[in-house]
Amino acid sequence: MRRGARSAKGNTMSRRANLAAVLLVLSLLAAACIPGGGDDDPPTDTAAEGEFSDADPGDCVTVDIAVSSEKIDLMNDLAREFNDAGEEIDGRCIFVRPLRKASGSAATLLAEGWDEDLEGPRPVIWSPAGSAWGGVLNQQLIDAGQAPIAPTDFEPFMLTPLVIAMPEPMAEALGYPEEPVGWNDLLELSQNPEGWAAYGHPEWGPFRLGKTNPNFSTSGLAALIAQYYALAGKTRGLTGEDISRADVVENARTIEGAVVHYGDTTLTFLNNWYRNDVRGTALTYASAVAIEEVSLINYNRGNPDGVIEPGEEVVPPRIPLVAIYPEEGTLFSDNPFFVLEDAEWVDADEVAAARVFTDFVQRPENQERVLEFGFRPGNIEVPIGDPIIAENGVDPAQPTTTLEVPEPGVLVDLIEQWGRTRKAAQVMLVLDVSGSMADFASDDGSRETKLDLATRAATTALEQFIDDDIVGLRTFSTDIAVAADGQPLDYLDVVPLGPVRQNEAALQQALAGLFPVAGTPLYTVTRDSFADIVEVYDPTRINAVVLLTDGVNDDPRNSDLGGLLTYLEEQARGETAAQVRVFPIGYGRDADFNVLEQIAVATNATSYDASDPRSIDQVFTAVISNF
Amino acid sequence: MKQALAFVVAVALVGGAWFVRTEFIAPTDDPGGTDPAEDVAEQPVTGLAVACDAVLGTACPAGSARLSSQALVDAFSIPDVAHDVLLAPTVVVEMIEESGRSSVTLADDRRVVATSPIVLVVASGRETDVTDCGPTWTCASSLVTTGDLRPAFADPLTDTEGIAGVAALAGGYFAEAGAPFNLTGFSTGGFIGWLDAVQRESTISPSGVENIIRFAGSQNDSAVVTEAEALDVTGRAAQNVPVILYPEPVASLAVVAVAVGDADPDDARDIGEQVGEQLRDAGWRGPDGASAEGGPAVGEDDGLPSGGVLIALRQRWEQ
Repeated sequence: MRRGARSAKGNTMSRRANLAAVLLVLSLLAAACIPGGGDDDPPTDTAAEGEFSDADPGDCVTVDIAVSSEKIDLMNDLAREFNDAGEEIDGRCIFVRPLRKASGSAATLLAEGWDEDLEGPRPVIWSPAGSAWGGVLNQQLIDAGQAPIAPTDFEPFMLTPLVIAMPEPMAEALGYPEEPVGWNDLLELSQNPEGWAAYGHPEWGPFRLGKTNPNFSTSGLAALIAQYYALAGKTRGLTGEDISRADVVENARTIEGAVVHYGDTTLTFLNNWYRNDVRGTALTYASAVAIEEVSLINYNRGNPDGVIEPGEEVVPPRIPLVAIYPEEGTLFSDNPFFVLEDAEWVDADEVAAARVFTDFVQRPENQERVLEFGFRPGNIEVPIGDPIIAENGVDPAQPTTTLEVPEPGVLVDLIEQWGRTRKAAQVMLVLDVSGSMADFASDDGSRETKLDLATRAATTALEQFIDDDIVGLRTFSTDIAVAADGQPLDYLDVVPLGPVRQNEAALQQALAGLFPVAGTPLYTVTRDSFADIVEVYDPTRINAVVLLTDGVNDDPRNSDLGGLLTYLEEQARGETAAQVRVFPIGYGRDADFNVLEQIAVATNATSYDASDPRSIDQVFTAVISNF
Repeated sequence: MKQALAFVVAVALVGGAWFVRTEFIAPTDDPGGTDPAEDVAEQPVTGLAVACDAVLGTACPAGSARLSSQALVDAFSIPDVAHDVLLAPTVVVEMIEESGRSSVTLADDRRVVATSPIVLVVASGRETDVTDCGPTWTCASSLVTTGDLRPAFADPLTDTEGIAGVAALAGGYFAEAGAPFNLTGFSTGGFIGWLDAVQRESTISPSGVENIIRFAGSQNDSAVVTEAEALDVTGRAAQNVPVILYPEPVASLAVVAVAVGDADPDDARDIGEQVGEQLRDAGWRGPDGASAEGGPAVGEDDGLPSGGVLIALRQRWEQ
């Protein structure tokens, strides 16, 4: 029975006040529900999923487990094995039932009320990605006048550190593996106008960094913390004063300036990196991405998304990644097993059964399974071994410094400050207003159309942009207007590109006034929107097109998909490539998801699935997390 | 008839109350947060309510209340103390007596049944930093305050092991500063600065040694624990096995079984002997303090300040 560590300094009421502040932020973050999962368990998916969702435990003592996304497969394997083994407690069989539940969502549900009809059964065991979520939950409960339920006693189930993944040749150019590399080296690279030319590799172009959005991604938040510790020259006790220092802020801004784009999951980067590796352009897509060690191992095994579909061929990349364990220190995801014995819905039999399962997963043979999945074992009796080996680009003897998670108040300040220092964006929102957008969004009796939901989501999403962002709105449909020369137009710039706060009222007004028109000139509007952003490309910004459409291209004047894709790919390749990305959203069941995926891939972006129109709010939030 | 019925009811109530106390209240009287039913030794406690310091771990008798040292001080400060026997290190017995709040008399018969020195467990490769200057608690104290050693302690506010560990390290500071290790010393600017540095550089964790192994010393590179715990945990490590150091002067915990109030000291002694055996099986040393593992012998003096000073140190830590 083991507990998590905490700083010795300051167990005071003021810390509680700070924690309350961060909880507010984390709750808001957790409440912004984004579908999908990811290697780093974006804290925001709500669906309770798993192969045991409909399993019947019979008369057994049932142990429901809420498990963060990245370990659901492993937990399912262990649960299946455990259930088959016929373990008992006081003569009753035990049935373990894992359900996937993102850490942030689970914390919020446990604090605010878990609706079993919507979310599945309330857990007896909760295993988020990191133990910090236990503190988050407890503080939420305390603030609500309730008793905490996440125990401070827990055994880490498995571990994985945050690393900076770099293509091996680039790491070697920085002195890897002989020389220690850290965030300050990346700062130096970011500051150097010569980019990789300063290291004898002009063909690699400028230094390009990949980081996920700390509002949505555990990896992104960990990277932000590590970055600020490095810039402040500390390994623990990061303070508000530290992160407000002028030099720290300026250097943070410089590092952010090298970012390719953000996003809610590191899988976007890894998938794009892998596709570029296949094409031989991995070195010009990104120079470094902050990810978990386990994700890097999966990538080097030829499995960038961490999931091997039936029939999928696993081919290692031509240029492997290596893990840089920042010399200034890093953080771990420790995957605790919280047995919620103080929760009112958990009885003594369930607690006893949960402990049997907890012991089961800690058995050396099961901890070796953890290793197979690329995580480090929580049980100290199990040695770290394959696949955490040098051949996979990682070093089991690293990291040498683990950073302390800052005080909650500092976390709040960090996230707020990131909003001010992150790379600004230049984004054209391109909305489909074809006739099919007039269809009802669902068949549940609601009278709202797809266009109603989409415009409302877009309006809400405007709040996520920062003041420095430039945003414009384009709508498209065949024959949406007629040009001065009498030619039909396929799109209209309803609100031209401009500073978002300046444009906000016009954007809101325009979105509210949209109405469905005719067909879907998807290829034309995609090409022209991309070209228009290339024309005004600003290297100090993330330049992108967000393209929402609910149908297939039905433009009689342009059906040349091959031409579109060739054009986009040519523009997006090479060290001098236009760093303009198209993030398509497939909206409704009739969207051409295959084509949209190809458009995203051609521009090193990612596509989003809103086939259920009711999810468009969440999807828009996920899309805007790229900026 | 009414009198007979009243007598029966009274007997039933008394019997019921005794049953409830022995079967339910004592075993769950655990404000320290440790599960009393977990992994306790199998030997029965016949009719006696035993309070056992959680630092004894699995050696605590079945049915005893496993409490943190702070919870023990509290448990012996209420008007009707619910325990017949106290199993704890001598410093905890002193803390109860010197807290000024104790509501019972503890018997003078305090035969030591097991001992364990306080050790400094250091990540492999880092031990020379300490051995090069001793090893002494003074040296370790200096390394901590300069940020060159980042130890973990069990929580000094509640746990015996934690406050004893901080006291051992503080002893190193006072030895070098030439200041008295008492309330007067605690109010000096030098000590306040020292304590601030120690709190800044250290981590509170009941699994400090495991974390050295698990994180290869990258989280906390050292831990101040009992030798028994250090031997147990390092013996299970598959890699990153840390080094156990015995800084001078040796400090130790000496476990005693003390009869509470009118309880029979012989009963306490019997329980103490059983627990002593369990502790020795768990890596504690015998009453003579001799080491089977090659560590230095433990003397009669436990090397720690009095219980009252430890309470004051705990208060200082909390401030």
